[in-house]
Parts: sequence; structure tokens; C-alpha cells
Amino acid sequence: MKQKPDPAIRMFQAGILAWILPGGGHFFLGHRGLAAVLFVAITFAYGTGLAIGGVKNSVNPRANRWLFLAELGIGSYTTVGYMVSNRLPDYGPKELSPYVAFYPETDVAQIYLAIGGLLNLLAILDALTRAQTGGLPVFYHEMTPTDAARGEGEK
Amino acid sequence: MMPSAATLLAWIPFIHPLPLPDGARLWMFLPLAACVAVVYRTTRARTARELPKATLRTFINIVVGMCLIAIAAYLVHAAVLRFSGG
Repeated sequence: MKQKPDPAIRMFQAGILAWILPGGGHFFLGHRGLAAVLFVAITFAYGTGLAIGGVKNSVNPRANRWLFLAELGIGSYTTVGYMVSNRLPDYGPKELSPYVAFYPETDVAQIYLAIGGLLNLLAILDALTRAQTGGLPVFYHEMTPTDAARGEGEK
Repeated sequence: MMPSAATLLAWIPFIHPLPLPDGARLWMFLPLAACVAVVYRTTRARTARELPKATLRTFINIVVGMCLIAIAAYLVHAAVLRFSGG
């Protein structure tokens, strides 16, 4: 007889995967369609911010520690971005760095990056809930028992 | 100002910042609102099939809400200018 996986371990695995890659937790739990949608939407927001701002100052806790904290919602992208950012040369205060964006690009980049990271936090919480409830979304407790049963059937 | 061919060839995505065209800053709100609507609706969906309609409704709600906030902020700004004699 196949043993049912421990829900706590499943939750932990889904959470870690969702943190590493947007949609990873949902993919692990079998929600392939939702995983693809999350991956595309979150990657688009984060990638757009990174393209507009460039990695040098956008993924750098010394340049903006609050932004970096928000970006940490996506583990893999921020780790890679931070490593690349550290490898780029620093320029003096009177030199114009080709790796640094200025106003208004920095504003747009920061908003996109922060929202990308925070949206993935939402996706992580959803993956944790679905791992706990057997596939139901975050608002499952608001659903009537009939709806909840239908949701489990559609999984 | 159009970038030269040499500048374009030397441009590496994510390493060199991407300059935004003039006036694009405001329109950048729309794709971001779409991303927020998609992710929010995904966390409340049971299957991906439910998403398109619900996402569109949420996207419109966000855009209309932001427009109303912008109009309200503009009216407050105009009132302050008018009553302060500016």
C-alpha cells in the first residue's frame, strides 16, 4: 500500500519550491496550469523591473535594503541577480556608470521588482495553503461544504 | 534621442538599464496591474479555466479604482491651489 505523504513535509517542500521559482510550489502540488500562470506573471514583473533598472543597483542591499528585502520573495532570481551585481565594477561618484539607471527609470524598476517579489510571497502562502488543504485555494474556509467538495473533485 | 547602432549592440539585457521612452512611465502601470490581477486571481482559483474572466474583472476594478484615486488627488491638488491663492 502506498503511504500518504506527511502534510507538514509536503507543505515545507511546496513552500521552498515556490520560494525558489515562482509557481514551483503549485507545480509540485499538481496544479500545472496555475503554476504556469504564476510563473509567467511573476517573472514578467520581476524581469521587467530588472531590465529597466539593471542588476547593479536594483539587486543590491547596500543600494536599497528595503527593496532587496521585497525582492527576496523570489529566491533564485534575487540570488543570481545579487551575484551578478557584485561582479560588476564600481564607478566613482563623479563617473557616469553604464550599469546604473536614473530617474524616472529607477522608480519604475523599483516598483516592478518590489511587486514581483511580494506577489511571489502571495504565491508561496497559496502553495502552503493548498498543500495543507489538499488543493483548495486560500479562501477555502469561506466556501460552503458543497463548493469545497466540488473543488477537491476538480483537482 | 535615438541610441546609435554601436550602443544597441553593446547593450546587454539586465546588465545595462533599459531607457524608457518619454511618457511611458504612466503606461507602465497597466502591465503591472495586469500582473497583480493575474496573481491575485490565481490564488483564489481552483483551476486555470476560471482565470480569464475573473482576472479581467479584477484588472478593470484596479484600473478604475486607480483612476478614481488619481482624479480625487487632482481635485484636492486643484482645491489647495485655488484656496491658497497659488
